[in-house]
Amino acid sequence: MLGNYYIPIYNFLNNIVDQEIVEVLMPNKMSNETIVEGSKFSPDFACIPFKYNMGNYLSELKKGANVLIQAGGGCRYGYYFEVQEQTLKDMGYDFTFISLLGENGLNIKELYHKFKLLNAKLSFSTFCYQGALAIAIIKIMDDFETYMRDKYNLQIDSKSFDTIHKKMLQDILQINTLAKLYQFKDEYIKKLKAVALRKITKDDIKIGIVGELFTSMEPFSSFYLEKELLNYNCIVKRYTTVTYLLLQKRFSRKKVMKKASEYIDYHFGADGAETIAHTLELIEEEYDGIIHIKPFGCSPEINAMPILQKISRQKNIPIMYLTFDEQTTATGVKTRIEAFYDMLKMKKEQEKESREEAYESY
Amino acid sequence: MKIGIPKAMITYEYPVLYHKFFELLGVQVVYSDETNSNILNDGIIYSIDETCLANKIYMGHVANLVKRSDKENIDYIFIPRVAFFDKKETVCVKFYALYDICKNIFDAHFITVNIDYSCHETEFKAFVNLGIKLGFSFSKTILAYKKAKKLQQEYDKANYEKQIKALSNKNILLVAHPYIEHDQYMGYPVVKFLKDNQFNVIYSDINNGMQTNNESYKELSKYLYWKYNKNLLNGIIEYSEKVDGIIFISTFPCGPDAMVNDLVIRKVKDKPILNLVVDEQDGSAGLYTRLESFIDILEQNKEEMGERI
Repeated sequence: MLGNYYIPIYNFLNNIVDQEIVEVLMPNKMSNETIVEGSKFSPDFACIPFKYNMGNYLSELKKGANVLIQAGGGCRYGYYFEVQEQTLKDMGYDFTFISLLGENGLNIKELYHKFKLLNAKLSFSTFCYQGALAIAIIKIMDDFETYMRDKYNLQIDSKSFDTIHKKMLQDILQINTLAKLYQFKDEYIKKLKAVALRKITKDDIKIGIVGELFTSMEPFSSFYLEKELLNYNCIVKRYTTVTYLLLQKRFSRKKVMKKASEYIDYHFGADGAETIAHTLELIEEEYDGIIHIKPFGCSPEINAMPILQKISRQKNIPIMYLTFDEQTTATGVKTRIEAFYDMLKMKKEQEKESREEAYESY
Repeated sequence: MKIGIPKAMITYEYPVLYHKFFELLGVQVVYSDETNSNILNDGIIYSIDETCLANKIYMGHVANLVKRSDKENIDYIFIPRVAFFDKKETVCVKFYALYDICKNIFDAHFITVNIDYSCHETEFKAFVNLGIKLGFSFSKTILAYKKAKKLQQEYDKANYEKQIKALSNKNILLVAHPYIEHDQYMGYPVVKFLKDNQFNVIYSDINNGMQTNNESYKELSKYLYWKYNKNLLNGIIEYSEKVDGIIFISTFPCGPDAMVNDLVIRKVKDKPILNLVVDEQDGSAGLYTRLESFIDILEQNKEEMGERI
């Protein structure tokens, strides 16, 4: 469960399993209980995504699930699977755990055999087709949401994006072929483009969000940081999406390292170097402030932080560092966002005044 | 030429290799001081709050060398950058960034070796590049590296044999990274306490898997991909039959150890286990109380076993 991504994954599973014997459960919405329950049974310094995952699994197991699926990736994420399986089995649950990554990384053939457990009649071609479809849906969702996020506070009627978005999330559940998807895409692009927008002015405050992927993408874990910023009428930009992680990241490594080469020579693992490169990019695009977010104990992002501090000093750009763990409270985050926003606003006004003064004296 | 090596973290994994490589090239090597309160304080100042203690101490050691470099004419400070040894064998991401962080924080000259399989940089290639960068000939560097590597292996082997010979009837297995076990601040108090109580301390990082590609860690964790943790698990598999109890020491908040130790403690069921986490808050009373009660348990177990026999 990660943002709205549960929809394409739910869709994908429904399309490949034998629906007579397997029922795909729609995950519960993230709640306070998820994290409280999850952190009870997690290692103390495991990062926060681990604890959310645990909470999700526990709530599904209580609903009667007996097959769980875990992805995997860089840094510690690839190791979640083994620890979670052992912990849940020690608690007495009986289930099959499917890891998308095998012992030697991602292998489509191996994965196909794992999913065959859920549907004996599943053919390899259907599996691949449905996989590609799911990724295509994710891509379109990401494009849609990125466009929406970038322009959210530029819309003239403040409700128009929200209505289209709500409708899209409902409609996307019906899609089961690529042809339908493209029709859907065209339709929604038209709808999006039809929304009336105003131009960006110099007075708009622009804030970029960089940092760890889970807290960037799962709004609950960052206490709806983006929504909060949008309420302040800021222009918000965020880089990390699933599309970026799945399709673009590995090809952009060279570009990222080149961008960050002013400060670092080597890659930091996970998204550390990306964070630095994106920060520099945001500065070039004249963003007013940057928010760096991460779960407690996230090593790649901690690696990036001393460099970000240096950039912040040298380029005179405010960066706020937010760390989330199971003890973070919504009020604390809200207060900090408010203070950060006020500070950016004051800075902007001061700069404007000094510009005007300089102009007058000239 | 004079090169300074911070005596923390990765240096403890290859104590001989680094030292001998430079020495054979005719470069003088100086180490930072043993961890003391000044180093610890400096480390805390130069690090992000959430960094693990081992990393903080590393920064303290670098600061120590930077301070000394003017007085002692240290030309370079050596900070290896280690990432991938193999497609699926990596280390904690902290090691990826040590060099870049130091470069950005301190005003001094740093040199590095970059060991990264994903960029086709093997250890051999990295050391050759380093030698050439320092101005030595190709052949001289290769010889130095080969010899140093061999000496490191001999050193490891001798250490292993020594440990096997020292096995007595009261053994405790210490599972911790070498940079924790041998550090004056982190591991030494524990080791000293155990030795004072007539226990023989077995280090799990010194085991027979160091030379060969031992894969016995798979018994405990099939998907493990951190190189140094693999080595520790190999040690647990090898020694767990021969010891009375196991002590885990990790630093706060160590990423890999948090996950791996949790898993291993769930899986090793037949031995008493003590899990210690060290942080920068001084205060040894809590530590000693826990160690004392752990030792009491071990002694009691032994007595019961004796009665049964």
